[in-house]
Amino acid sequence: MSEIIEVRRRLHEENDRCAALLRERFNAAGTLVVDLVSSPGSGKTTLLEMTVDYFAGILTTAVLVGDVATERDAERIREAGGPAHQIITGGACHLDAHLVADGLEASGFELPDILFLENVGNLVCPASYDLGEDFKTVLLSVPEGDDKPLKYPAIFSRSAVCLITKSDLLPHLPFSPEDAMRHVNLLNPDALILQMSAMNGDGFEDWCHLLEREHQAKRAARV
Amino acid sequence: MHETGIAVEILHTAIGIAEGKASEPNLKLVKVSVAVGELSAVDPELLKHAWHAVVGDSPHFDAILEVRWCPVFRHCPSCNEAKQSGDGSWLQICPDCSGPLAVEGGRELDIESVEFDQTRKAQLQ
Repeated sequence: MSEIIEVRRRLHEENDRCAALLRERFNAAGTLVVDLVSSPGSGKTTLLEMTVDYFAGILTTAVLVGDVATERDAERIREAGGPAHQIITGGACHLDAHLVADGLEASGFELPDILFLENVGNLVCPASYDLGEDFKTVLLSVPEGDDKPLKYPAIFSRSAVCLITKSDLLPHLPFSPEDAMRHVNLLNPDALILQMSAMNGDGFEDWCHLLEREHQAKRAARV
Repeated sequence: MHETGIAVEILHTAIGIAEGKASEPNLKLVKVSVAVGELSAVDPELLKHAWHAVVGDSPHFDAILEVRWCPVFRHCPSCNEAKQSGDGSWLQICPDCSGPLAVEGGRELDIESVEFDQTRKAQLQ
């Protein structure tokens, strides 16, 4: 005879419980945590190389990098001068809170002023997982097209910041920044949208100033 | 596929729930009921296909996944009317007056019930 258990449990309850514990820990340390998400090749690692270099001597940073395979991205960030630990997901197409917790343990990092979580290149699955972050930042590169937000509404609606990267390619591609911003704001009216280029540095300091403000606010709010 | 990972999570979570209640090992899942919201970014039909693939080689090969679809309700306070779902379900701005929408529901991704059988030992197909 079969037995039925009425549960009514969120599928991600375990993940969310782990994320809440991480968030408590990050808040107690005053660590600003940013989850970077994007399609593969949108410029997450390049942005992090530049960011850790910018903050050297100003704020401490560290990066947990999620990839299906290889340590290449963590190596690049370490060469740029930032502590970085690679999380090999072995097939999982996103980071989850348990992977972040285990990665933090394995890294041996002391919690820095800013911790970056470089998610696996994927615009679908990372939208569904709380990692204990302060906010998600989604990268949209110019070659991907200005209608991308409408095609991947979940991640764009759940990201507080949207970075339009590779803006140096605008003269060569039919990408309308105005349309892209309008599409993002249809999904998230409160999203902050910045345009930048790693090639010529446009917009990069705006990103760094945003991080500085958010870090200051987090420290000020620390109990 | 995104839904494959979700199906694996459902299977593992359901087994864990059933094992917590079972009086003996080697239980077999009969049915798992889940609620899937319109804003969960999970497609119910793809989820069912993924479920079949995930349980196929397991002792729970004939367990059924029952999916309850939970729509999102969007209302425009300025127009004072409900806005249609469908392709525009994710939009937070009213397509008619461009004002902010009030959005309720649609975010469910829940396991609602787990039915399992203890009388038959779980066997591989």
